Amino acid sequence: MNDSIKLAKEMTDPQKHKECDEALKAFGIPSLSALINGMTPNANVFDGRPSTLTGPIGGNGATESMAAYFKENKTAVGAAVFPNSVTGRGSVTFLGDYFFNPASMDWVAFQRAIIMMHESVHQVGGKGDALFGSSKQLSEKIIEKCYPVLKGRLGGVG
Amino acid sequence: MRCASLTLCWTIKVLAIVFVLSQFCSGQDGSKQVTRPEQTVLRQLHPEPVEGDPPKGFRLLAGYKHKGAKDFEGNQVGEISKNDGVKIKYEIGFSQGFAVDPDQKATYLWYREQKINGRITRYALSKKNILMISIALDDSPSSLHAANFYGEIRRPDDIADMLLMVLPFAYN
Repeated sequence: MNDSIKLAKEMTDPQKHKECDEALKAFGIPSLSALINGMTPNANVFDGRPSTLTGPIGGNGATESMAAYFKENKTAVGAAVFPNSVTGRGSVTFLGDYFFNPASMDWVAFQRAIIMMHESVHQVGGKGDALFGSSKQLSEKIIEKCYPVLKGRLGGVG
Repeated sequence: MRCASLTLCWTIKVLAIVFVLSQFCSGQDGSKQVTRPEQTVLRQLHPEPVEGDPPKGFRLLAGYKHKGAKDFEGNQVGEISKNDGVKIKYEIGFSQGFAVDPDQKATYLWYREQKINGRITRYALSKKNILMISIALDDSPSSLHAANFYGEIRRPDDIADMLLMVLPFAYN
C-alpha cells in the first residue's frame, strides 16, 4: 500500500511530471498529485481483507462485512471507495485481493499506482466515474498521461 | 550430371530463402500480438464484458442479450442490445456519480427527474440522441453510489424499450 502511494506520488510530481499531474485538468482536477497526497494509509485507505466493518455492500444491498465482500470478489475487486452510509465516517478507500494479489503480476507496481490515482479521484476529489464517461475512461486518461513517466523510469523498457 | 547438381544446388538455395522469409514473416505476425503495458493494465483493470445474466432487477425484452463484467472497483459494467433494438450501456457502482447533471440542463433536449422509493432518478436526452438515466443507490444526495444507463436512440421505440428494461431496476 505504502509503495504504491509512493510510486503514485513520484509519477505525479508536479515539478518533474507535469503532464501526469495535470492528466485530468480538463475535468476540473488541476493536480493529481494533490489528490494522491490526501491518500493516507490507515486513515482513509485501509486493507479491506481483514476489516470487520459491516454495511449494505453485498449483492443487491445485502449487509455484510468488508472482509466477506472482498472474499466474494477475490478475483475481481482491487479497491473501492465506500460512502458515508457504509463507513459512518465519510468516504473511505478499502483495498482487496485484486490489489495485493492480482491474477496476473504483469506490471503490478504500475497497476497499483494507477489504482491509487483512480481511487484518489473519488476519495479526495469527490468526482464520480460518470464525469469521465466511465470508470474505464477515467483509467485510460490517467494511464495515457502517466505511463510515459514510468516508461522513462524504466529506460524505455516496454 | 553437372546440370542436375546445379539444379539441386539452386533448389536448396531457393528453399533456404523461402524458409528464412517464412520465419521472418511469422515473427512479424507474432510481434503484432504483443500488447503494450498500458493496454495490458487497462485490460486487467477493466475486463471485457461476456454474455450472461443481467444484474437483478433488469427486465430483458424479447430478443435482447446482455453482456457484463465486474471491474477492479466492483462496478457492474455491461451492455444490452439486439440487432434491431436499442443498445444500452450501463455502469453500477459505489463511485459512479450521476451521468445526468441538472446543471447541464441547457445541453439536453429534455430533462426530467423523479423520486422512486425515496431516491432520485434523473433522465435526460442529449443532443446526440443518447438517453441517459441515472439512479441513486444511496439515500445521501452527496453519495456517488449510483447506476448510469446510456441508450443510443434511433427511433421512438428505442425509448420505450429502454424504459421498460431499466425502470424495473430502479423500482427493485
